[in-house]
Amino acid sequence: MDKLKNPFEYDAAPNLSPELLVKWFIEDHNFSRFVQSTRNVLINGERGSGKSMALIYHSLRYKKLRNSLKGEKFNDGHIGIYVPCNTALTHKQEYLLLPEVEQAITSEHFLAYGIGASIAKDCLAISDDFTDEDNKLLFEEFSYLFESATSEESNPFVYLRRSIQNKLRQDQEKIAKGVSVETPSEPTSFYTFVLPLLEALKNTSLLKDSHISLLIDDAHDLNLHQKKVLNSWLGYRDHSVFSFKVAIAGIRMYDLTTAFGGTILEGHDYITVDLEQPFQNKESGFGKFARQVIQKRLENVGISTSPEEFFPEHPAFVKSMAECSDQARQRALEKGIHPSDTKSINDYIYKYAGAIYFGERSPKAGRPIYAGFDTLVHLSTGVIRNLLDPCFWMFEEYQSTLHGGPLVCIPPDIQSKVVHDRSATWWEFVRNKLDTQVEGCGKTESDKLKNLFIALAEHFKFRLQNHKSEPRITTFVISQFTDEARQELEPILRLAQKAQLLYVRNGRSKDGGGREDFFTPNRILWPEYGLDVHGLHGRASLKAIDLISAMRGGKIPVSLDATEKQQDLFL
Amino acid sequence: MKNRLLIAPAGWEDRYLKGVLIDIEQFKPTIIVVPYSIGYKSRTLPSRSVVASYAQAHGIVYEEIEVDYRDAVALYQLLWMRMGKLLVNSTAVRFNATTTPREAIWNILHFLSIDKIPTEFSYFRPLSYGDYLSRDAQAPRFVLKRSGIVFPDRPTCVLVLDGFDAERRAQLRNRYEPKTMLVGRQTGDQLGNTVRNASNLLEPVDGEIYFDFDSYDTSDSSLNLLKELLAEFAEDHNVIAASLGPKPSALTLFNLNQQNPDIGLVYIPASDYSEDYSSGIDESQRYLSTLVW
Repeated sequence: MDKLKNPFEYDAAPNLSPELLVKWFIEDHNFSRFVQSTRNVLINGERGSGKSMALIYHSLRYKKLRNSLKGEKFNDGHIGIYVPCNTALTHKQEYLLLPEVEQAITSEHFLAYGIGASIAKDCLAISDDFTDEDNKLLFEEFSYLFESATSEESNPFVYLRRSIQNKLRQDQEKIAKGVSVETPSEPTSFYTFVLPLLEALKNTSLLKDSHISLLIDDAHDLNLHQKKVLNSWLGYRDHSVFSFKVAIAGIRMYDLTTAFGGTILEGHDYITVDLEQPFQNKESGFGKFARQVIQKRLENVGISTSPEEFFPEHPAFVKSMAECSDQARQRALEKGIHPSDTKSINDYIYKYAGAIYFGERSPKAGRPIYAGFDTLVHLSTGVIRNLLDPCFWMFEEYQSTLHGGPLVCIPPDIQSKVVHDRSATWWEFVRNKLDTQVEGCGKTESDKLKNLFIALAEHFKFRLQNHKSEPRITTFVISQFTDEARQELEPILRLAQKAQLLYVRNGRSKDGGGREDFFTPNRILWPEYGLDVHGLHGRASLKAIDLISAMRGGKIPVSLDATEKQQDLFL
Repeated sequence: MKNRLLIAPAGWEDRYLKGVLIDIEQFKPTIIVVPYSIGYKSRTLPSRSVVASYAQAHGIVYEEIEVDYRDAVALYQLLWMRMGKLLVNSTAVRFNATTTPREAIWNILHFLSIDKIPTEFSYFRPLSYGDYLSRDAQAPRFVLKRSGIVFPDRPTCVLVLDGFDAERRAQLRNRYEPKTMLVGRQTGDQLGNTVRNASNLLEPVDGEIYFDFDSYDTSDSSLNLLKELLAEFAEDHNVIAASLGPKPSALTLFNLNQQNPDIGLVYIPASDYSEDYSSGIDESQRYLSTLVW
């Protein structure tokens, strides 16, 4: 039997083949509704959360591909133009050699050409659907923009693409010469270049009734001037022709000021869609989504079993958990809970069975077992790339041992081994590689991060073994977060997010007074410490001063009683 | 008056001082310019003092430039402001790049290329490297004026001439998310290469192509090898190149960019370099190359 292609491969979405991306993508109707709305939408999501994939999937090229794969006619109601920002053009920095005003002009010029190039690339996919009249009109409009009367091209979008390439080449060659830098000789802007292109498309018979969404991906990679000018465009209120859908990693740190000194406002200029999901049980939105992703990946390589069958739980774990549940039930009864009060007993078992298994293990019992699809979903901490990573390595590991046999499931022993290996790899990263791999992370910061995460792991371990009320909690909120403490703590927490060691989600405050940030460390860290990756749906309240002390090598104090008032912390 | 200019950005390693003294002896400069890092001012002071004293004793003009290697724009502008006139007034230049950060190497070579000033590129190998070379990774960045001709609708191909720091390559992958990564694996077993070079320790993953490369060889054969490898990608990719291994490969990549300006150069800065970066100087491996503009 030939080796099966690993179905859990993951790469940046723009690098996937179009057919593979269409095959793998799980359509989320809720998200699609936002992308296809005529409003400006900011999409917030961590690296690996699927922002790029979602935007690319809704782009014109992929819509055309989906239509043709399904044998459907091209549907022109709402079209998306995919505009990547993590491109070599965006990363050029010669503009910084110019005075401030010229920096802004040059930056907008290249951004406008970037959008123009994307329009050409996506529309090329539907160029056969335009009439001769449409093509004539498009040629006229495009050639007017480039002040060129004639063209040997028969396709207006090929003409547009080549004209932009020629201009970009001229501009960059000019910039590369000599010592100083000059602004492009004919600088363009959104209003002088992009808007006329969009209006030209809207004047065609094919797209006259279409709404055009500019799907701006990885806007955090734009330079400061480009971010500001994009924000200014978001303030453009007439959405009859176009709107923006802007994907950003870390919206809370994103600059929302405009080129004119104002600020764009949520609800007024844009709405926000958050791809970061707060919790990951089987019934949550993310849990269902994760299941669909794995199911589809398996189907694409001809494996028809369910994710739960493909990643089964370990029988020994199931047996041990049943015994731990019995123990928890017994303790509930000893606590005085009446046998007929099944809800209270079940709540008690939910809280404590995992704590007994993970927290009260005999040193001779060996390492805890981490297997089963549900465990993998929890390990992902709500990020699809984190879900695919262990699956990928499990598949590789098992394939290497198959020797031609059929692949029905990944045995739990292999799952658990890979989870422990991946956890150890992450800790190696925390202990020794932060300062060489994480941008902006020096020796001082890497020491603080290492100290902080070791202290968190030890704190949660102690809590698992000793806390009377909610032992399995692995999410925290920060209390007494003064301005002074923020100054010291926030840069380190930002680096932790950048390193994907920490995820920050916003939720309802426990005291009902608005919303607050929840901090969830990447759960792949916990198997190395034998923690329960399922956690509890609550959060510990940690003082800012204690976290600062932990960064410096101290321990996070622990509270053993139930006076933390955490019983009512469930979401 | 036309000068013979020695550019020798300051270092603290044994090979820097010994190498510069060899260059002075051989090249007989009339002016020595020594840019030094503001962050390592005290660490480079002993070697700078020796070079300054030697220059004074031999009637050679000696100038220092305090630079901040972390700030690409300030570095570029300051180097030009302080060195521009000197370069234009030089009949010959020798550039000792032994311990110079690659970005500064490329900036200086760019300035030299404008007026095609006759230049020799000088480099000295150490006898051994320290346990770690650098820490405190900064974001990779495109090199001013040498960032290539790139287009927004093309995927990225990264060419890496690999070194000892495996994480540097991971940084390039994370930052630019290339479709293809061409990894030049340093040949030979010098200086622990076979056990320390990142690409000797790792297997290529999807989208990576490994090839053997000698970073110490800056001849046309090295250049032609890179051109052949890149031919497949040059038409429909944005190609960016990084040198992570021995310094002479920075010269090869500069020549590659010089001959094919579409290929951009990228630099990965680090702000913490080991005090014990290397030790000794291997005079048997003297490297001197005349640049052809």
